[in-house]
Amino acid sequence: MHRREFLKSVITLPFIPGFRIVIPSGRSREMVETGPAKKYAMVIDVDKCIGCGKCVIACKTENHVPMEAPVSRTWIEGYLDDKKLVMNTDENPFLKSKASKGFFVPKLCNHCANAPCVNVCPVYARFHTKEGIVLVDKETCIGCKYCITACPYGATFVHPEEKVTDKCTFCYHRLRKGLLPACVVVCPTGARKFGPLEEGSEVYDLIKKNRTTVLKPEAGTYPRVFYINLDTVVEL
Amino acid sequence: MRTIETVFVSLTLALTALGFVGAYLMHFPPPLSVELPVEPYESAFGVPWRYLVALYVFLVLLGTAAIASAGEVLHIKEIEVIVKDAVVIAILSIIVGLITIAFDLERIERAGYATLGHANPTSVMYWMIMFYILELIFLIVESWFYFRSDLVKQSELKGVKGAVGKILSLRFIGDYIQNRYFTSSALNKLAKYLTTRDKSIDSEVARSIGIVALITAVLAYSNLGALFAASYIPLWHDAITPIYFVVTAIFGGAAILVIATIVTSWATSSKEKLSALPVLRKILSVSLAIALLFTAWRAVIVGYPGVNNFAAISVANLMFGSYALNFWIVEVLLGMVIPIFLLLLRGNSIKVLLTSSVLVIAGVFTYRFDFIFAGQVVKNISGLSLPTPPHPFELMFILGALALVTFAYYAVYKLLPMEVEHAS
Amino acid sequence: MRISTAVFSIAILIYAAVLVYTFIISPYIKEESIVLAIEEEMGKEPVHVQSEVCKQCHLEVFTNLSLGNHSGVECAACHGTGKEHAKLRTAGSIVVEDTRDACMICHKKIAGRNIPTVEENHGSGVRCSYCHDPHSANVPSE
Repeated sequence: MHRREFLKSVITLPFIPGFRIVIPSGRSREMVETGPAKKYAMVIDVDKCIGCGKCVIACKTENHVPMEAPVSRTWIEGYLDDKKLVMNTDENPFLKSKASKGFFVPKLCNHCANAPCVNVCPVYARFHTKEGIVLVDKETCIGCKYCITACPYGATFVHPEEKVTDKCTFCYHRLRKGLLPACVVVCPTGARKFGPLEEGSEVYDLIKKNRTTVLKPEAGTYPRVFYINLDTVVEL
Repeated sequence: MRTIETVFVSLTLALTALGFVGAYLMHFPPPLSVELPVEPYESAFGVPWRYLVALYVFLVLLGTAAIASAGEVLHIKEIEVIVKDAVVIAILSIIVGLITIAFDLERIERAGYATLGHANPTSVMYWMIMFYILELIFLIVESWFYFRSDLVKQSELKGVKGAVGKILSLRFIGDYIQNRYFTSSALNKLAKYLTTRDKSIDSEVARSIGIVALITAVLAYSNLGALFAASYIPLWHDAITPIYFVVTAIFGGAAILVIATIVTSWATSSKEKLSALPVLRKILSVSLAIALLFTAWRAVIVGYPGVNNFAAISVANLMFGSYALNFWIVEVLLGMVIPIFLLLLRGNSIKVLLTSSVLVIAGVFTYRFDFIFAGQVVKNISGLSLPTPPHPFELMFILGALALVTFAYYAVYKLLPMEVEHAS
Repeated sequence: MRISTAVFSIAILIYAAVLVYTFIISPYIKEESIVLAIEEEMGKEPVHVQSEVCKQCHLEVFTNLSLGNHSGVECAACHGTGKEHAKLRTAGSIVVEDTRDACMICHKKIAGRNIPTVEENHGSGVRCSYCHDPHSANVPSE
């Protein structure tokens, strides 16, 4: 390890800052990805979402996305009468509405099994972990924004400070320690449910017993976020 | 003439400097408290690909490389007089296009590290990068073979032009070998080749490289089309998009060659290159007709009722919505319909040819912007939004990039032998 | 035709080099980058504290909560992240917001909320905690 570091410093020192040489160290992904290989999914019950926005605030705090920037890893779309409002900062735009029909749809990265963002990244900065979660390799991303154009759900964005693309990671750092994602934790009505897709888990039972739908099934992305009680106007 | 030259040089250099200032300001914006969009890179409420990507697509799709290589390979005599201009414009526009896209990347300092070792073969953009780099390499080698004998002739002059001729034609290697009297026959043959003005080997090699460059050029242009087409955005998702990009590259290249030929003939007061204009006129009119047909049918097919509601909305936005003015007036009317009529009715006059080429270039420019913006607007999570005018920094950079290409072309004209070579 | 064969073979070699680099050399470096990225993700610290941790010190409040109407609500939903407080254990390091606005975020009457909601002027401008205990969320019978 010491020799690798020395070699790296010698080669990279004369170059412009930010240039990094990755020398294969012989470690494989199996050695780093510890834990059982369960496939995770999230089920969102649109009836239960009240549009309080605590998930947006919690996600931004947990994952260090600047709160004032109008970008977020998860956001809430409020369909109030025929208007669509979006909440992605700590300011809640739904509280002033006087609509008579309304529902709130929380959206986030769907961690698609056939993810367009993984396929189009020219520098392979997005990849699937063995649990099926799509992660961003922030050291490699050059910010070409092709993944932003390719995502059918608008789930990815340019981080205002780090200047690379960022998206929901299902709070991968929390899953490793047996915790739930931040948005699932703070949801006061329990609209978001998260868990592995195996016998006996809550998510599995919900999918088995309810009529679920996914966003944009015609895109062929096989997403892992399922919605209960969704309205078709959301597809647009 | 001297005053026009000085004004031209100072204007383009000033605009280039302005462009680089604009690029710096885009990445490190000063803290302003006015109601400009903060940075033109947000994606949650804006579009990710903006004017810089459109400018890049415009610059690399000036298909003069394809025209030059096709002319050489198919032995079209009239194109052979402008083949030097064509490859020079192609090389310069690809280089400035790559500079443009470099400033659009958020973390450009990693581009070397990221592409070096992180290849994603399923990504169309990765192959586009590879093909354009290969195209650049092949073009540079091909142009060296076009210029070599004239550079050797130029190296006999004194001063800067002589030095440039000596270095670029690699004649200094030939002189060095001959002065040292090496015994190896291979080295002596190399030295003899590098100092001769004989063009027999050059033209054969150039023809062979021309075939390779032509194939790579067409691959690169259609790859750029496929980059847009292989997505779920309905305005772009069409099998015809890569072919359409190749057709627009051809007529964009023909138009820019017409402008370059006429302007440089007027500037250097030589009429030799004007003999290429009839062929360029033919290429321009045929490809314009094809492009007009493509545009018309694409608008009908993508937006036809019952096909795809999402697609119909995006086409309606382009044709009757916020982009309607750009689309109908500039892109279709000024960019394609009027030039076709001008070329068919009065194409023999140089003034008419110049006017229609300028209109075509304006139409192509607008087509790139419309295509990219109108396509992405539908995927905005906050709903459809009106077209945004270019941010001042972006505008500075656009002007700077175009000025850089013009200035570089002028500099090449000054330093390298761009006259038509005569078989001597 | 020897010149053209030479040129074509060089061109084919260049294309082959690109293919070799893409398919043979770069997967190794990609693997290493992915390993480094996974390690970086795993190394991040969780910020929000879940209720099992709060329960260990605040058992009374937690029992109060689990017997009332707010039983499904986690502590972090109203009290914020809690990571500082779990370390420092002082009163100032956690959010205890006791305003009308804090309760109205969830309980204001707008379309689409199927939990008990109230109008803007409910309770004539008094703080909500005057009549309702925020943890057991009781509805005063009067």
